[in-house]
Amino acid sequence: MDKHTLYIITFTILITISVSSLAALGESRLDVYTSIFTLEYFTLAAIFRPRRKTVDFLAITLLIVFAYTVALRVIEVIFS
Amino acid sequence: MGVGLTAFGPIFAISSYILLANTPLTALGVGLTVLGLTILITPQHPVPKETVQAFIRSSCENLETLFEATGAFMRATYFPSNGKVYAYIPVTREQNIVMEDVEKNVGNLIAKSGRSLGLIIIPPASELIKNSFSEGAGLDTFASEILVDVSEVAESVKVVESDSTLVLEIFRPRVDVNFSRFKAVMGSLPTSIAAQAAAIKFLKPVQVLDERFEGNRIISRLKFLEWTSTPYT
Repeated sequence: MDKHTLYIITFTILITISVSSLAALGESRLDVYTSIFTLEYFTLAAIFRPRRKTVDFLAITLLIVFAYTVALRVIEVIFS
Repeated sequence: MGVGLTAFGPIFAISSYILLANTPLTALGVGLTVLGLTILITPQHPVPKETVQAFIRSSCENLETLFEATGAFMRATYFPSNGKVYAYIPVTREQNIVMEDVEKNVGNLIAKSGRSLGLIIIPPASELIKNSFSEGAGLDTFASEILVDVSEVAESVKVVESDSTLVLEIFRPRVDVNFSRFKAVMGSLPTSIAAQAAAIKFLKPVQVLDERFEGNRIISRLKFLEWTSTPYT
């Protein structure tokens, strides 16, 4: 199987598993889900090294969202 | 499919959030959007590595014929010019032409100065290097991108820099050519590509000093030349 196809299939499976598992655990914080997606995205990108048609703007966006989430948590801990 | 998911995902996420106030469904919408965008930015039919390698091999075969015909046997010097890499191959033993003058002859097949005679060719993978070059990356990253990700001729590469010499350790080369004249002049294919990457990265002429094949790795030494020095080895 072509590595790009395998990459997409693996990512689909991981997203399905993570959403269903977190939902089953009763997780209601959206940032937890997005952080997991970010983690999965970067892990798979490191493993499969897929080629991109353009600049990987999705990676940049996910990283910014992740950094924002972490920053909010840190601020929460500091000022609580 | 990518477009469909990218369009459906945000609508699903927003309606789940506003109408249902359901976090898992909202997350599913976000997940579908990320997946759709991933599909969109990932090429569906990238040029297979076998095709890229076949092109490179054909290019090497042409050069082998040219070297045989001209009797070239001395080491090539890779040098950058106008964002591309070229290789100067001395044909006569006497070489008093300096690299500066060689560079001025880019565009001609033959560079001649006094009794010095040599060929200026575009080495295999020159175009790949031109397209993949990014200013910020170190040579380690750049060589790895070219050899491992783009051309897929090796599994990994390590670079050690010392003064005017570079030592490369190329692990598990996947493609090489069995053209003896080509190897003698240009070096093995992975080394040749790495030398081209070094030339464009440091904007200096580069020559393959020597290379050793140890099991499943190649250890090569590259030497930087000055623009005012002659390419004679």
